Amino acid sequence: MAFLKRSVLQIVPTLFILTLIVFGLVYVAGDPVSMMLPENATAEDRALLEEALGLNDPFFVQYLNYIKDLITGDFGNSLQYREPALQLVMERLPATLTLSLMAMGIAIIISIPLGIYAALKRNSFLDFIISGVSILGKAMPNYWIGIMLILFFAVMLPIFPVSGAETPIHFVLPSVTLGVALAAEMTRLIRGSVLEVLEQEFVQTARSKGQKEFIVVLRHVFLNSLIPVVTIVGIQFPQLIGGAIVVETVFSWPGVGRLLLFSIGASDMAVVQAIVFVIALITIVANLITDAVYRILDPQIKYK
Amino acid sequence: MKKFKALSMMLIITMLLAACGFTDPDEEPKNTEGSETTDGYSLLTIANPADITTLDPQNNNVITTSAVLVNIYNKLVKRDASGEIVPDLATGWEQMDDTTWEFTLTEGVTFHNGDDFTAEDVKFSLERVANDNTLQQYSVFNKIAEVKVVDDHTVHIVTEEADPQLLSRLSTVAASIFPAAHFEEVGAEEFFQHPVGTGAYQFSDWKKDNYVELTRFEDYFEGEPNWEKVHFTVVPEDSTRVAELLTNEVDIAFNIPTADIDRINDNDGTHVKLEPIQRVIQLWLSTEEDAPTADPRVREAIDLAIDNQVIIDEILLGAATPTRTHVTPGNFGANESLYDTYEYDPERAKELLAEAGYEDGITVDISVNNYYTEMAEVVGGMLQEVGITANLELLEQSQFAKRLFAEDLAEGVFVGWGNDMFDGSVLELFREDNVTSYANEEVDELLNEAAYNMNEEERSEQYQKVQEILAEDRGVVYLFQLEGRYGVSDRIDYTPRLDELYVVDEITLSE
Repeated sequence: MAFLKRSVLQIVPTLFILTLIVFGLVYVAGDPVSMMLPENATAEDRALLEEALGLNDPFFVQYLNYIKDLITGDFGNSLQYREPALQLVMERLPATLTLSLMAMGIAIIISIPLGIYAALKRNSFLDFIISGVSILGKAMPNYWIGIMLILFFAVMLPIFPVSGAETPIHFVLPSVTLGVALAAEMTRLIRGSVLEVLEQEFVQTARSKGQKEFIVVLRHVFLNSLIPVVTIVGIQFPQLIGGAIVVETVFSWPGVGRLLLFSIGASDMAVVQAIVFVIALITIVANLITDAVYRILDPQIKYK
Repeated sequence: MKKFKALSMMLIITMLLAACGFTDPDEEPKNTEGSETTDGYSLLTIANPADITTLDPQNNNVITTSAVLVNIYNKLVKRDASGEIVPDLATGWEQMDDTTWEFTLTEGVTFHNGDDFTAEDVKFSLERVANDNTLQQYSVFNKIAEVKVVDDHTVHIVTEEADPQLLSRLSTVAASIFPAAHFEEVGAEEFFQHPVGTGAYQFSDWKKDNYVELTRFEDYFEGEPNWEKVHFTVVPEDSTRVAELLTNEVDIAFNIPTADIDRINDNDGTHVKLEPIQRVIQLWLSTEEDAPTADPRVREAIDLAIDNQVIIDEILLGAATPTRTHVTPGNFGANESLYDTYEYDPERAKELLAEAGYEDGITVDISVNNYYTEMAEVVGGMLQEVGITANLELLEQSQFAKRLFAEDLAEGVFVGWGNDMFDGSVLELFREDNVTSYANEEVDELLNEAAYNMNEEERSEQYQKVQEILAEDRGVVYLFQLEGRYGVSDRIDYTPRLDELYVVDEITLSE
């Protein structure tokens, strides 16, 4: 409980500083009004619109107004969509979360057997291939993988739809694209971690007890090699949401990543803030879960 | 034994993968979509790079949004495919005096919700955009002082001062007519969740960042529309949009990369349509005293150093037309003698620089909207050939817009500019106190007169004269008018419009 309390106490100032940074960056970088007016609008038109939207107040007045509303749970309205910013984000969040979870699932499904296999058959030909492919998988940028997958599995061999998010079959190419890099990284990590555990004495003991190899690998080796893997999963999940910006664009996926890209382009402050806020929350929650899983995996870990 | 276990593990994993990937009891796969598009007039699918941002045509400034909304609402007047202003919800109009116009309204028109269209709707809709200064189109309509209802089917539109552009304004999508009573009853927010117009197609669904769906309005006053359903899907990535077209998932893919033109033409069942759009690429040159470009000889040298056709051929693969004016054919006051032509003479350019005292060359800073980076780089190379070093400063769109308004750009500005009103008044960019500080009394005088001149012929001549002076003075160096690049399925007959709007009922199945 104390651990939870401390975590929450850390979250509040973190989020507060985050809003200030994001607010500052968007304020400096862009100009919402010139993106909203017709090209040939005059300086007068511009002043009128700025005033109507409350955008001619000094930076700190705007920021304080924003924070005041935020404390009451009001993220403000999108300038472009004229809708509550949080609502825009929440509408798209399920699509992004589903995509990220699917990618994570694919990464886990690919990496665990491959990683264990590569470690057990260390220095074999297959180990060599698996490690080689992992490095390749990590090196390929996901927009390129996405475009290639579309070219081969949607245009040349029309197995999957090119883009969109209507049916479950639409999930395949985008989640593979997003999952490849993570799968590659996790495979290498699992291989290394399993190798380390294999050399531990308790593994020798288990084997000398005459336990079946399958049980040895699964119970003694695999479970004990999970801790670094959980760390990676915990850290990577929010990063997947970041990677979704690219994958969502390539596959016309109606998620938060594309909304973020559009809103930054339009300097739509309220929406950018809301997205960063939500992603930050997800990151914090993912970290909390990671910490909790540690404790289950290894009861020796204690938090003071 | 070991092998068997490994195998069974793999099998379980494969099944798991299958379980989470492919079965979802709530949704049945609708792979019918592909076949639907081949089924005559049941569905038309148009892929755009960006989603619409709103269903409110008066609070929008983006063509891709107007291009969709034009099908839901009607205006008093509209532009036909050739750009002429023709009746829409008004059967006729007459100018009573310099500031008063009488419009006779079409009778027997109903809105999608069944309400009858009357003069009150016109008054309400136009006064909304003329009075609410938070709307993005307010600046275009705020010259309308009042809309008077004479009877159910007659209105008088009164402008604050003589406005020769009134019909142009009324033909834009922002002049859409809403059902007043219904709008006032539900309020703006609710209204634009479920918009109601008189258009050929009624709104049925908007899955944000995914697609907008419109369905046929059977009681449309000009007869039953062609298509049962229209989908405007959003496909932001260029290569994905092309792939959607090649696999027959969409009928029209807008803004395809030039590199894919041949691929689409070579593919069985698709072709590319190139049609001019309103955007003219141009290089503004500062005439402020300390800028080297203040010397007209330097500006002329820059113009002569650029081989417009090479840029068109190499970068746009032919999808543009060279021009020496912004007011291209199809726009009011176009000076066609300055269109489809350009001047290129690098030798003369070098001489001019020498005459201006810059034998050793000069350096010009140019701010570039990064949308046009490639073209600007080629221009930079061409300028280098005659001894002008161009320092390109690439700016992302919103940054560019911000600095443009603050008049904080370099002495050269590389920009693409549209012409929403289809009118010579776009030249007012170069009226006194403008961004380049270009000053020419004759230009100012002509522009000021033309702005309020109700005599069309005279007004057109005034704009033509301004174009001549600008071309001579090189107050701005015009390069070329872009063409819209559309990938089109062979099953439909589609000619893209100059205004880039998708008027769905102009699109038919090919014979």
